Amino acid sequence: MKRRIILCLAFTAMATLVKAQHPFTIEGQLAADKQGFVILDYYKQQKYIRDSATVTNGKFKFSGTYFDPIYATLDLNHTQGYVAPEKVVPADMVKFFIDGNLTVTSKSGFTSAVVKGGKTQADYFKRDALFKPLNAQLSTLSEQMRPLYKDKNTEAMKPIQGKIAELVKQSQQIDSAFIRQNPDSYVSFDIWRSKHTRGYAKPEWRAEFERFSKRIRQTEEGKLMGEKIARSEKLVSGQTAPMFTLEDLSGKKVSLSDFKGKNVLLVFWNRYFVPFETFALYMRRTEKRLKDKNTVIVGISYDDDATWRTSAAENFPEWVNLTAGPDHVSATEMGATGVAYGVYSGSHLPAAYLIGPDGKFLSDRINLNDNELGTKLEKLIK
Amino acid sequence: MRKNIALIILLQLAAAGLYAQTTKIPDFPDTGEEISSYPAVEWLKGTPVTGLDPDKTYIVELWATWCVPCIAAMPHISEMNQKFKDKGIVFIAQDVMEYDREKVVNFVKAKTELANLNVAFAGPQNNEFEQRWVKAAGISGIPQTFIIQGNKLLWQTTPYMLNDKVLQLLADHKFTISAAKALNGIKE
Repeated sequence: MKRRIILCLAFTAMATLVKAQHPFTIEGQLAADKQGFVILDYYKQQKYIRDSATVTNGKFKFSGTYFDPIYATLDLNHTQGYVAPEKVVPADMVKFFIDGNLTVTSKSGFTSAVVKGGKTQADYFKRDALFKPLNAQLSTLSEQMRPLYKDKNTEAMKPIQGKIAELVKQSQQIDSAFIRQNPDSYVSFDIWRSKHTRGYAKPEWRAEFERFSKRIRQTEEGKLMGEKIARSEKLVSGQTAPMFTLEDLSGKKVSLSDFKGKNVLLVFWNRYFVPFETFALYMRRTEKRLKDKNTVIVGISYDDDATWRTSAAENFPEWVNLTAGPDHVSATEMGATGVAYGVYSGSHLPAAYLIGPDGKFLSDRINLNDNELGTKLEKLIK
Repeated sequence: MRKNIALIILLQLAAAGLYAQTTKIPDFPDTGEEISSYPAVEWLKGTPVTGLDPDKTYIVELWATWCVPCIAAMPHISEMNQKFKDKGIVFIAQDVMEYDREKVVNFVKAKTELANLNVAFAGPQNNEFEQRWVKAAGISGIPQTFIIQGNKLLWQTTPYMLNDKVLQLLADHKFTISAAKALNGIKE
């Protein structure tokens, strides 16, 4: 299926806590000759949700519940399965925010539909309008690009790629300005948040986060982000490392306090990130350098029990090997210890901290992807 | 003690050669550790380097015909080679991560930037260089640079960190990683 390339951000949804839900409805009236079915796609509390309804004489209706405003799409007569290239038709879709009761009206299909209802959708409409001239330019450039791409004419593609890069830059500027000018908009927050979900939360995010209105900071996603930033502020050099008690390979309970008087290199890991081999090599080198220097390496594994036992024995037999254990149930539920150390999902692995003999961090989070890791840690330990 | 460890590693290296497919490859030396041999590679240009002379400094530059930043760094490498080749510094442009020998040979013939460098092709898949240097050093991307002096690995870095001042430190046997970083404006 060929979809129009448009300048648009991926609004990814993250987990929210179980809190009050609000009802929403979507009432649609397309051209009276539209029949078939419509698909509604969105993420709610990190769960992907797909709902569908029949379209009779252009009419359809959805209802549901939501926590924070939701970025969603409607897709008319979505093509399923294989479609011969000559029969491909552009998708008839519309993107919008669910925030209360919405109406979707159009004299034809979704491509030209107007979605109304709720403050968030009004804001999204405003932002969308700012992008219209850019999208128009982009689709012209895409058309110019197509034959060149087919002919592999890389030289002729270069100036067009340059213009596209310029448009991308402009789109980022538009979004930055939109965020600044609309601190009480969930759309602003969602754009900002989508750029701050990968990687670890950082204390430096505080200033930008505080620019959003109290109402926005009090949404479920807002509260979650606020907590992450607050936690990140406690995970820096000089702060006391959060306490934990976890089981080792023999089932014995081991606490951080057991290592008082020693340096602790605390490593959160599993066997399945890439490149594991490089990580393991750097850790072996580090281990060699820190040997007999009043330092223990404590590994907290996020593997299942069998994988943990095998990979710990194979790769890090000298470590104090602990398991995140029953506390950690999936790649997105990292358990209390992981969360306390800012490890919110499997994509944060591996992560590491260096804790001094007094139980305080000797540095901010350690960058493990560094072939000079051992030398750097050697300088930091007490 | 460290020498002994290095000797053991070397013995393991030798053994690994015999059982390359089945034995675990020993780790590539860490900074400061001994490294006194160069894997068997095919020399396409310049003087073949087999044993590593303890009186010399070697700068091994990993590259491939598909690696745009590697090629972009070549004129700079070549220029430094011209300036420092008489000061005991040997530059090696080591092709890695590709197996089409003919493609590499033709590329080397055509590229004037490579003209005055020692250029080597690592060989077919799972070649010795790939096994003992690239994989064993945990390298997943290029460009990448190894600096070896006095049969010790001094630094595993990138060509961007090399400049005349850093090279002069090497020529004067005054090199430290901290000093080289400072010359690149990086504070430790």
